[in-house]
Amino acid sequence: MSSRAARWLAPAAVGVAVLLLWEGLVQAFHVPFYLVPSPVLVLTTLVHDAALLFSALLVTLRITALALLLAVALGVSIAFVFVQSRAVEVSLFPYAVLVQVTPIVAIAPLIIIWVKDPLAALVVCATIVAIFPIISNTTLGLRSVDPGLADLFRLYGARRWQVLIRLRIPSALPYFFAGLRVSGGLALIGAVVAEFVAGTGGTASGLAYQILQAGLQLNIPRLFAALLLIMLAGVAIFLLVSLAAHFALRHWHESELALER
Amino acid sequence: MSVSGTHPGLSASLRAAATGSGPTAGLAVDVRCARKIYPNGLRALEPIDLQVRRGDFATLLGPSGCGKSTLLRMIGGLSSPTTGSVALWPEPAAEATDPRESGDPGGDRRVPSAADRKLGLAFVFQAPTLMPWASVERNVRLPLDLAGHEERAPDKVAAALDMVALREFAGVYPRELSGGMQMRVSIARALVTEPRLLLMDEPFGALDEITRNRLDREIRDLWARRSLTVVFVTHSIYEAVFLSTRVLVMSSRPGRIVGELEIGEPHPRTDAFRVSERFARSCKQLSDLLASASADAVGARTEAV
Repeated sequence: MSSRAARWLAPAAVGVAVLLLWEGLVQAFHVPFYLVPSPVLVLTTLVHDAALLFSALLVTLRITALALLLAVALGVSIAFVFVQSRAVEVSLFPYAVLVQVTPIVAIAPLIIIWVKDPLAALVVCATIVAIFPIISNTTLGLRSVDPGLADLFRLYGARRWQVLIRLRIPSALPYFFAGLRVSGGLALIGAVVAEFVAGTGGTASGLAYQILQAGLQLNIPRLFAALLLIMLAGVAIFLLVSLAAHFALRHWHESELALER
Repeated sequence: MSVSGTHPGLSASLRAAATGSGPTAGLAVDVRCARKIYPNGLRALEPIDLQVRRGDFATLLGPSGCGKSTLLRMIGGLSSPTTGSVALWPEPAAEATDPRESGDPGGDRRVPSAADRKLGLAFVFQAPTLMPWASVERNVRLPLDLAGHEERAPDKVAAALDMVALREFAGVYPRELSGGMQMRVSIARALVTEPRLLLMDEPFGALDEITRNRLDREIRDLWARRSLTVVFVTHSIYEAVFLSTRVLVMSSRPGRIVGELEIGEPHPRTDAFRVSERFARSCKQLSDLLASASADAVGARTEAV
């Protein structure tokens, strides 16, 4: 078996084994479905409630995507401002940390009160959760310029914008993508948490809302099905970001070359 | 061996004498009383005077930490002298006004301006210093792109790559090349602007001896063909003798120039020169200079104690 196949087959085998064990235990001990539904029941519920659950998934994904885009746009802009001068970074960075360490569940109610549009409020919450890795990694990347190349650019009288576009941004890309990988997951978590906090005050249609409702109605199979969709969405986001990183860095950066060898 | 007025191997002093008159005529680099003291008080360079004539292959030879790289970076404008001045292609007219008499409090300092750089200055660093995200071609093009010289850029890049025999590698990324090939890309990038002055900071120090010897021959040929002025930094006596028309010996802590040696051997220099008696004699003279300099330094330190 090639190592490439092993990378897919090994985790898949573990997954199948766990599912079989789960199904077997539920059947053997006659566990009621309102406590732990069997995998087969979760899947049939997913198919049965597909219309409801997939439209809820789309709502959550929309919030996640908007939040991630906003986090990237804002985070990268803030990083550009930070690298303009040490004084600016030193003055503002503590506040970026402050945003990062404040629990979103604690400030979400405020944001939901302040921002009228429920969708916008949820996007703001998810953005706050997702933005920090983008800021800190991009700032680090923009600063991590090979000193020899910096000398070279100086020698040829490069202007500030030439240094930014031709040197700082390419140098920062690997760091940016490392941040994006973390932020992609965080944006989804932020979206779900914000929906939870908002409850019926939110858009009342996302996956988190479905989980809340299913919990209240003791519809545990639907709760599991919604949970499954959230996990799959998280994995999909991770794979998409990794793919983007691969296409951006495949020619030169060590992190992507290791995959080819 | 025929000697003619245009032969690049002709003794550099003769060529320099033919190009003009006056104290700075014929100079490519004029360093006056330049010293470097770092903010932490470290004296990297004692006041140094260094004149490099046009067409010279001048080598700064010395042990690690003697300030030879610092001096080279000053010439390149990457570092400014704490006191003293550095001028490239000084004009005799400019010499008439002594900056020390101008009344300008900072007038004693002078770093090469952007105009000097446009006159054709190139720097080859210790490491290849290539952009890993760009192909060989785009790396070599960089100086033209930064200067906005788009016209005929592809031709110039091709010509520069031809000079280092890497034309067929134009589309390749640096990581796919060996250390020696990366260094040749770095040299092509330096040559693409057709510089008049080439500064090289131990460019082949990290390479194996076989590759280093080959690149030494190539750079020597380029110097001769392009009538370049080269300031080369190395800690290898053999490399210094093989390449240079003139070797300046530096000693450390603080860095200063303790002696110099003209190497009269004409161009082209082949590997036969490396095993000749003249080569051995020059090496011996240089190592004696280095030894006496370090003995002086030890003596001075002992006295100070």
